[in-house]
Amino acid sequence: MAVSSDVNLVARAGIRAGSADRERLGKDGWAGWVAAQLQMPTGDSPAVSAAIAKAVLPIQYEAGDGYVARKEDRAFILLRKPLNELWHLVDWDTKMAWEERIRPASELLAATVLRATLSDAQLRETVTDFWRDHFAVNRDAVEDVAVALPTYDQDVLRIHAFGNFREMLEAVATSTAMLAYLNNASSKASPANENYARELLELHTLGAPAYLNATFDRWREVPGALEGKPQGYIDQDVYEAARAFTGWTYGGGQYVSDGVALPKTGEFTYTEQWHDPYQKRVLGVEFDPHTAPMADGRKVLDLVAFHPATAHYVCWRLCRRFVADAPPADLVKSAAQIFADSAGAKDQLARVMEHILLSPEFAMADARLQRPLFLFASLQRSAGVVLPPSQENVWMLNGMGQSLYGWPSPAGHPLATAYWQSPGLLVRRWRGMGDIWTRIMAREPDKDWANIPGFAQHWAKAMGLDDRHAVSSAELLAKEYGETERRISFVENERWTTAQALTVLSASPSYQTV
Amino acid sequence: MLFNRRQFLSSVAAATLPQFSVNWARANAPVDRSLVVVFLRGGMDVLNLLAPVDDKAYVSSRPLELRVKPTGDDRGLSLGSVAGGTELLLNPAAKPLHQLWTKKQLALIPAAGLNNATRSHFQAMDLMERGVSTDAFSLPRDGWLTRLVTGLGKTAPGSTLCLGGAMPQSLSLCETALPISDVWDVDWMPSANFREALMHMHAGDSSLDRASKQAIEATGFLAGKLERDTNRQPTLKDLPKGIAYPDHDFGNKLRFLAEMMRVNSDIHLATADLDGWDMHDNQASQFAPLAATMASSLLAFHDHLDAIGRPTTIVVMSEFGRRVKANESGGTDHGHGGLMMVMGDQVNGGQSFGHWPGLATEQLDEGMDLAVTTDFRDVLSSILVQHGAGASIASVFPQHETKLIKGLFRV
Repeated sequence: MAVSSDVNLVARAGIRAGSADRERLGKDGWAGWVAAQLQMPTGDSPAVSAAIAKAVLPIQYEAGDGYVARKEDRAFILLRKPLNELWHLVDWDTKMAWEERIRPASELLAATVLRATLSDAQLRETVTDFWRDHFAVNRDAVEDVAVALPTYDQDVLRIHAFGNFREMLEAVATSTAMLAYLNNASSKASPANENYARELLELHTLGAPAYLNATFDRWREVPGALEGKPQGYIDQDVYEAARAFTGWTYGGGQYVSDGVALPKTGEFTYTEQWHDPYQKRVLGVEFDPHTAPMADGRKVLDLVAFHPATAHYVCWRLCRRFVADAPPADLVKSAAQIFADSAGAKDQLARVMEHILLSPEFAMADARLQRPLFLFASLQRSAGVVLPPSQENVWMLNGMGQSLYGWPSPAGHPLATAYWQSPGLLVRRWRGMGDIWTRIMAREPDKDWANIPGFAQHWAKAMGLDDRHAVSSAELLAKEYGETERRISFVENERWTTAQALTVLSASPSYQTV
Repeated sequence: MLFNRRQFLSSVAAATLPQFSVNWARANAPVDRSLVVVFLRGGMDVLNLLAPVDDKAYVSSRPLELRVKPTGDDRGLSLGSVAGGTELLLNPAAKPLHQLWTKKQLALIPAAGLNNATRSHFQAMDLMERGVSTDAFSLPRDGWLTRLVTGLGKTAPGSTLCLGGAMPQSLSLCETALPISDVWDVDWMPSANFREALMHMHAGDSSLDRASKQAIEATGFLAGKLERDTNRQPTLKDLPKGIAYPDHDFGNKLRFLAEMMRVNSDIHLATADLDGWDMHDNQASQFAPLAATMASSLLAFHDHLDAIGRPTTIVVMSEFGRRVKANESGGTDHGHGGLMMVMGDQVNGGQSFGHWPGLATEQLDEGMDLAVTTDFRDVLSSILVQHGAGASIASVFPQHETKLIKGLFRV
């Protein structure tokens, strides 16, 4: 274990240092880089905006009932539209291709790859990615989620990534994507739908370690419950919390009563008629009957957001994501202290992130495998190439184990290294890199290299690797060609072979792990 | 008498100690039979698949569309007397299971599951896949199949497969299992020189290096066994007559698995998952199609293995069943007792095992969910015995007093 260089710390926290980052690091050092990252605006940087403005994402489908076949390059036109202007896409009375209905999700995922590749605000990209798993929704569960993804990513997760947890929690609870995915949108008295309330407690806030159901049968048995400060929660809290959120829904044309239906806007609405208004008890705290609209749900959000178990669990997950599979207990504790102490601050999560990133534990941490999205971005950054947006990019990331907004359960992708480096996903990773390098090589201008070692050294340097890493790929090429002093030129039939050599080079653990 | 969880836990805790270490040298010789573990992720609603259709408690708890129907064209299929005299009918969407049942190749263990009060997907899966029933610190963290594989020394490259890119928790910390989904996950190596260079990159002994070497060696070994067409491209052998998999990812994976088991007799263990059972909402439109996919895939897989002469036991499980009473979203919430199914050439099929606890409120777990009357580990242990791995039980399922299920297998 050794203290990493500033360049390596950037790669661990963000993506990989581009030239602008190296310049800033030389001037301000690691702490300066972190401070600057935490200050960057939540919107797209000019480079990202420009790329998205001129990019196209192909769309293609066969003719179907009520629509004609289509195959075209289409600009990113839905990314910034408000939800009510997209909601006609899930109007099932209008016939259209499924690719059209889920186009908002397709644009968002393609834009996510562009942002990772081009954004200067790398830390916001990686931290937003953390929240995508923490507050996971699955775009394949129902089309409503797919249509709501651009607003979920931008207005709920990205905007609050360095903000206040309690505010983010309410933004999630009232988001169309989460209401659709965990079914709170259809939860009515009575029995309420428990899906959201359960995952709120288990995944979003107090966490599985605070689920004490196997130990206690009744709420009052939980230590601290009689003082309104229970150590954890049990199913009785889940049932009661589910009642508190009845009526939190979004307008999708649902029938409410004779002559009354919810508007077809896709936007949050509180439906009083569906709410269970009677007294409740959540985490040892009494709720009066007949409270004001949304007061019950908001009270639950307060109770869970400010519970000590939540500070610990959220910080434990942040440390697991950014520091180590088994996070250092002292770091989790000190981060949780900051989380709790700054619970009312607008920049609560920025303070927590700053604490984690500037800790000695972060600098001393062992390198771990980079996630596929950021590996893909790193390869493009290393090569100085931006590959055009495509559905294939997203499928490739799925294959490598990172299914953006597509994990099949609300737990999101595992944080543990063992998942990312399972032998099956390593095979997919190498296959994916072969594909990426083939596409990068296809865009390289024709150029002659005097010999194979020169070629390998050039690319090793571009990837920030030292010469010894170049040896393997140079030897591979030499063997494939049967000679070392061969000139390499990027003519058609050599691009594939050189891509394989670069795949080996980038498979180096020094490049794969950060 | 109603089963009391706390009493159960304390009785197990008292009966633990000496089982924890096991002398692997005493474990039986390696076996030829293969085991395939299918996990239905999300909590499969057993009461929508298999139910006492005239039970008053059942009828009053759910709308008709979330029940197995007693009458009409889509009424439940009779299984004869099931569960100690209680007649349970099978959802006709799962008709292929009825075929297996009639041919005595399918055994049902209703009300099987995890003896822990958890109603969390993730905790229930974690416990079941670790082969334990509590979160006690003294219990092992690795998967039950990991302990089985390492204990039996069945660690040859490519002998343990997981269908899908990721490793299930039942195989967590297992360094010899290989997750794959199709021939391209196996036959991917661009060239021998590439392989050599990649091995060179991973000459070290970090966990990444070890996983990389395992990936390269195991896929290389299996690639050498694949059927190939005249262009040397990998191909799946034509299906035996009368066998059809549904056009679904799950069916495709099982077909691929059967092909791998055909070409590589070393495969002794495989896992496959079918997601999508967490139906809190709008269950009526989701359950029947998924049940049909599950049933037709399993029938095709079973018959495929039978046709190629591959002796196998298939066990199907889920983390829990669902709430007896439906919610107001047209769905069901997390419950307790579930269903296990065992199929294969030696299974004493056409029978159910274990006790049906009933659905009246006072018979339910915590007054709301189907009780667990058979511990999932007792079903799995009975399979291990059949596979000649009975000596492994104490270490695969530590701190559990095993009650083998009598008569689950014919021979």
